[in-house]
Amino acid sequence: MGPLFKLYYIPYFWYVILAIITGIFFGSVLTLSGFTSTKKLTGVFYFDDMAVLKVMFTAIVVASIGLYFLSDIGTIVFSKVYIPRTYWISQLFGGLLFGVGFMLSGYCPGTSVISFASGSLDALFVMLGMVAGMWVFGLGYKIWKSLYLAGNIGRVTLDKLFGVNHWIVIGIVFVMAVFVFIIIETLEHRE
Amino acid sequence: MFDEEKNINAYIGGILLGLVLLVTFFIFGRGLGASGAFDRVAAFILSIFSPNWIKHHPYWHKYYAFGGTPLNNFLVYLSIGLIIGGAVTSKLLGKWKIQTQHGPRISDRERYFWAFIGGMILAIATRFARGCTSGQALTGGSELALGSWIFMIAFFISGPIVALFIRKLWR
Repeated sequence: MGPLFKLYYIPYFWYVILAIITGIFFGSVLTLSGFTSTKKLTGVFYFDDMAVLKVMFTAIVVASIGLYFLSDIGTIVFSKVYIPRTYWISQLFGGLLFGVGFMLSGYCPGTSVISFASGSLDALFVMLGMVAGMWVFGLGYKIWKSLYLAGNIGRVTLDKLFGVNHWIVIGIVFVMAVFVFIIIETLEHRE
Repeated sequence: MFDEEKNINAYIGGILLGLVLLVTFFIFGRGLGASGAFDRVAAFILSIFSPNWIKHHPYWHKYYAFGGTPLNNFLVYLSIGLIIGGAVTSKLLGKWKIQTQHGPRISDRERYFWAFIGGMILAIATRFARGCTSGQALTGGSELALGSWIFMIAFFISGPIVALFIRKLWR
């Protein structure tokens, strides 16, 4: 039963080793999918390469079905799985700003790391900029603290918010994904 | 299964990525992430110069809750794996190449400038969002966390609008 590290005593050494191995798989799959290319990453917002949207949406659907299925049959103890809290005002602002940073830098944080590791020098500047940006945020924390904490409504998931079974929400996400994929494939094959 | 640019089919890539995330949930009880490692490195560098100040800093003190160093964390180890996985896999696929990626209408130096500025904005955005495309969109999204879906929707609204104004950088 899982999560393994939450339910059983396992030496910390294995936590470190398994985290690194997980990162290797994570980085390899992103690289296999072509996420080291700024043309591919920015393509999702120029609507000339939708691969990133296909990969992300598919991954979300697969992980969501897997997580809730394994929780329903008791293989994963859902209450032990960390779910990020919602600060909806702060996260709305963060999402809007993320679009600016993503389009200027050409990467998101994880893809800047694998792109630098595959030889892209521009990704190194993004990584250095990110460390500098963290300093700006931390050093000016008092100035934007109220925005940072705005909209705190705790650990809210969509099924709880709408008061429905989680499979209804997952079903809607699944149908939305298939619908988006059909539109993308239809437009791509028309060219 | 692979296209002419040596990329795996997007749906197969998505299934593999979803399975990596699912196994991560099962083993660790948490999902993937990347931006947190950058914040921890930033805090660590400052701690070299001012170890006591950082432990009581209103924002960064949380990384010292259990003592030790902010670098001793899941996200930092995950990022070390990201570097190894990115380097090895791109080498194996024949994609490893020293290069500077940008559109045909700007120079390398212009690219470096905007890469740095973009990185700064990206970092600040991840603090307000409590994560990035890995920790929020992918992980929180599949957990059905409300804030993660708000983040994704906001990102998909601002992205295409910003793209219009900076087309010169990329196309």
